[in-house]
Amino acid sequence: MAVCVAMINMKGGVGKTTLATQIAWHATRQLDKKVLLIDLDPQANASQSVMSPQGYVRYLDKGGLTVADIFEQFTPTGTASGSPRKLDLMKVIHRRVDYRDGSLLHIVPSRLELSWTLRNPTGKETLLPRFIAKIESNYDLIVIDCSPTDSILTDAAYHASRYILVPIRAEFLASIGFPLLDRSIKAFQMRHEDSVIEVCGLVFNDYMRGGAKRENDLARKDVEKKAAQYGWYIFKNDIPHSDSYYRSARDGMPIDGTKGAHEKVKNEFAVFAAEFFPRIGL
Amino acid sequence: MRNSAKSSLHKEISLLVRRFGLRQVRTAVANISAEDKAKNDRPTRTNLPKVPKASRPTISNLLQALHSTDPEKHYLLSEFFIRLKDREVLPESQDIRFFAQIIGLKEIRGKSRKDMIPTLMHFLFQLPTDILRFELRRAASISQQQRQEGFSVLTDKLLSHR
Repeated sequence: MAVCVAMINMKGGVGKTTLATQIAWHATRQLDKKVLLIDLDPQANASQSVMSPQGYVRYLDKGGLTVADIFEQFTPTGTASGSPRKLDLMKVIHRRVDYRDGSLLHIVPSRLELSWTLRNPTGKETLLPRFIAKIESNYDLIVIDCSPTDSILTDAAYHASRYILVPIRAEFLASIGFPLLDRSIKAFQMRHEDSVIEVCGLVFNDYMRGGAKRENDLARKDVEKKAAQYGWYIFKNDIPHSDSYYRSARDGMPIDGTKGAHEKVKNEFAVFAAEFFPRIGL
Repeated sequence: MRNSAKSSLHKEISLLVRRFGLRQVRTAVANISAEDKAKNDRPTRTNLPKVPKASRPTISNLLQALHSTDPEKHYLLSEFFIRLKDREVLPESQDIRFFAQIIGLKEIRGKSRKDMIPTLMHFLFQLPTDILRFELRRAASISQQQRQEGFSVLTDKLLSHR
């Protein structure tokens, strides 16, 4: 059975997508795992980062299916008869790369039209976990990149996930999304008593280099205080800022295969990964 | 060890302990000691008996061998190899790295194109002909310029959806 982890923070711009894609690449390339990345954000940045922007456009132009098709599979639109059609699950999965040693990285891409699901969400939150239940035996790890809102998409991620990883930036208002996240998880658990979901930790992402930065330190202390209040673990290893992550996204490549990425940057991510994966049992 | 060096070492270790915790630092030091011991126990390069290095067949040799056994594969790879050498396809080292991550070649070491080409070619030799035909077609669409234009193409696509 695959371990499923969702990147969630109700605050935007904290690096959820960067983290989701690099964790997926790392598990595939360094740990030789079979990984499925699910892009659950209508902005589809994870899809663009892993497939490269051009690869993603080509995929859409060829009529490639996306996560939106999972949510709308029973919505009778686009068919002349108005009857729902059975979705071919494997067609939603894009095989980004299959290595010879059996490790692989596949992705369920997203698209803007996923936002339509938010307009008529009734009963759709279980469609993603049902999809995952059918394909999870093919994978060791499933990573879900979420959008920064508490919506049916977040609920779908809760339903499907065992762990939540919370990326944060050490900046003003960093902990502002915590109460919302805590309430959102608790509300979900109250509605679904049998569900097992756990915050596996908070990681400082895009952390400013150069030692003591007053704003960074203040925000960090604030986050540490609030995390202790909610009983959330903070990863000891931060992921410091590097422009190479932008290039990595533009090229659709892992950080360890990105041109110009400094060894130090690759090592910093590897050190975080060495702390992260054991916490989710990998 | 001089006093200043001792104090500097102490400071460095204190920083590590503060960052990772005493237990993790102890474990790391123990691991390093164990690795060092294992390294010292290993026979040195000069002690080892000389074993003739198994040489990898050259690309030309492999192509020659393919000529009679699989003419189509021979044609595909010969043509690709020439275009690769002439930089008509995958002109930059990063293009080769990108292509490797499409076709399933996990490790491609080396910084220059020259270093990477043999590894890439050896991998391609092992692919079935139908897959090879498909992958080589994809190689033609990879370039630095295309990657740089990627976001612009994406923006156009998203705007056209409006």
